[in-house]
Amino acid sequence: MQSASSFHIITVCYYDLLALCQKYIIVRGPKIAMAYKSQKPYVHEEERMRRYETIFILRPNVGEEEINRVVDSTTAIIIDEKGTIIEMNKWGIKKLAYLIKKESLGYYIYCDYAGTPAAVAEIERKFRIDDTVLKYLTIKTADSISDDGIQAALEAISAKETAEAVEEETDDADSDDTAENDDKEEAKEETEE
Amino acid sequence: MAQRPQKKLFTRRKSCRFCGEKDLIINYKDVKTLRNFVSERGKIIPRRIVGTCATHQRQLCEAIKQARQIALLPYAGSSQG
Repeated sequence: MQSASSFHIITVCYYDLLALCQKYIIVRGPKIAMAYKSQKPYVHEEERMRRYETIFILRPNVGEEEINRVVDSTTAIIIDEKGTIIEMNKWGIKKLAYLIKKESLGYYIYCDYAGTPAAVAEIERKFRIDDTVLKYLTIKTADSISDDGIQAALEAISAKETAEAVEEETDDADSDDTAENDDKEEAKEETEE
Repeated sequence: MAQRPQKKLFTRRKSCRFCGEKDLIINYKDVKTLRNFVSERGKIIPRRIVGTCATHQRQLCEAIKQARQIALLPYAGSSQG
């Protein structure tokens, strides 16, 4: 009788028969059965990585240190639960559409990450206690994301950033280039003539 | 039906803006697109006036409500308020 290491997988099988014909593996739940079929290691639901987006608003008056403190604590929670941060974007101070705790401006921070539900619960708990955080919103964008998916997302983000940086450079460069090209063309025409 | 107010008589767009060629993604962060579907006072414009299809109207509503939660759009009041 094989007894699995994790308690929630109950395999009832007779080893000899199993070796011969692989008929019966009684497992609890279809997801586990699927994992068996795909021969991937079954990851417990609470440990599976889901993709979340969190936006939180901080008070506008607090200094850089406070902002970094909040950001660092959030990233620490995500990493503690073995998640990965895909993108952390600080939108800066924006005007709020309505007064929140009598503040009309707020410092927005956007975070895109792959993490566990436990991490999200912990982050929100911290936000509720913290006075600096005015509002937060967490949205699940994907139910489960694999390591490949995370890699792809990270690459997409870095590609976007480089593309934006390149765009800025080419915009400046284009204006210079056109001026140079005009001069060069004029010179060429003169030499040809 | 009883008297029809004038508003309902003008023709609305025949095709959904999102189903059409523009592949606009409905995202709560995209305040500029969302503002097109919100009235002056911040109310969500009904589908029969805007001309979106049912699925996209539902997604729009959800996005607008999420944006309201994060104070990107107001719950009520003019957009300048």
